[in-house]
Amino acid sequence: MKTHFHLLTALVLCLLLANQAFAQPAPEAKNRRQPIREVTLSGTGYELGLQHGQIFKRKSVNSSPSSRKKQPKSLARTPTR
Amino acid sequence: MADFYQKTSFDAAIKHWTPDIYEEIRGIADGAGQPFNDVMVFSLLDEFWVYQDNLENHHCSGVGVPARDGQPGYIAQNMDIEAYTDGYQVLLRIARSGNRPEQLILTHPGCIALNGMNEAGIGACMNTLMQLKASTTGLPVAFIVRHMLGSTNRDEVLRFIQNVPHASGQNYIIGIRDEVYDFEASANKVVRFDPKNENGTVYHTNHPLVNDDVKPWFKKFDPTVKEEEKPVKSNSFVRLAAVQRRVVPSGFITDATIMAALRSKDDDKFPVCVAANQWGLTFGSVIMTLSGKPFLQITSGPPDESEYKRVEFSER
Repeated sequence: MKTHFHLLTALVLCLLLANQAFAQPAPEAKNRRQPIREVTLSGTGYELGLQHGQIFKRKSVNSSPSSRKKQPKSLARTPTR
Repeated sequence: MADFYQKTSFDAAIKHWTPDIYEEIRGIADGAGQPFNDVMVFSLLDEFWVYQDNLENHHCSGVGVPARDGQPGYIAQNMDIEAYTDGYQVLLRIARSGNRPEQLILTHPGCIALNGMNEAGIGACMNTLMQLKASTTGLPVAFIVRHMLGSTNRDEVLRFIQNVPHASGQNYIIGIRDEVYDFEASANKVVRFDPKNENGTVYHTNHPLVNDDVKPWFKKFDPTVKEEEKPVKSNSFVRLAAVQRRVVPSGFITDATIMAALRSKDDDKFPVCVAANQWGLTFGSVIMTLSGKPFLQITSGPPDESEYKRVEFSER
């Protein structure tokens, strides 16, 4: 009985090791990025813009298309969507 | 930029067709404390590319799936733009007001829209078709999409897209609740693309498939030229084949099918899902479910780098 138990344990261990050896590589790591930032705008056209502009001022005035001239040539190339 | 503004004149069309959005640009400029023209150019992305006439590195892959057999209708897209925009991904939620429906819009600060959808189940995804003839006095694409997203009326949207003067060559995948339409628009014509697939799907990348209003120097991209003369190994053709291969044979398309297509890298050189590199990246990926109670699934950056986040419209 004891021998059977040892044989069975060894068999299970072998199967587990084999499974590990032939397993598919894990899929590419996910969640390397934060979820997208959400911003709510409300009001008339001009008011929507005003709120948007305040975010723009805080976040990205330095990324204007004209500032691309300051980038290395390789970064200034423009793909299209 | 001065030369760009000297050679183009979009103001009259913007004021005529979308006066509220012209005011919105004024508001952005005032809020940011930046000159009007410096802010406006952020919403003239495609028109700026057309001005540069840069066919290299064309990207953006889109899919449309009409509702079938109890499955909802979807439109979806990987939005591929310049590398300098990475990190600035924003989802704008424009609150409902009067007749204006609530809208969810992918963009970056300064730009009024890259793509989006509204709570009435109307959504739009665009792909630049640089090869098509453009107009320096037409309505720029960002204003066209914002106008459509401000509407809840199917017929008005379809009439608008087919009659407004287009500033830049574009493909529009438009979802209207259970229905999906695809139009290739240029300066002189708007042609519907309907591949007549059994499952009703449409798909697009960055070359014209049905509109022959092509610039003389891009003649090899004219859809009427012989198959053997087409640049089938170029970026846009390779990505189109990849998307087509993944959605056309799938009789029963779910959002999981679309996610797999948008995450695909079937071709090493020209993948649908573009990791950040020196010229650009998949800035964001969207799947819009337009039937029933519409909602958005979105990633910031390439869709293989994070799970899609589900975003609902607010309760009335």
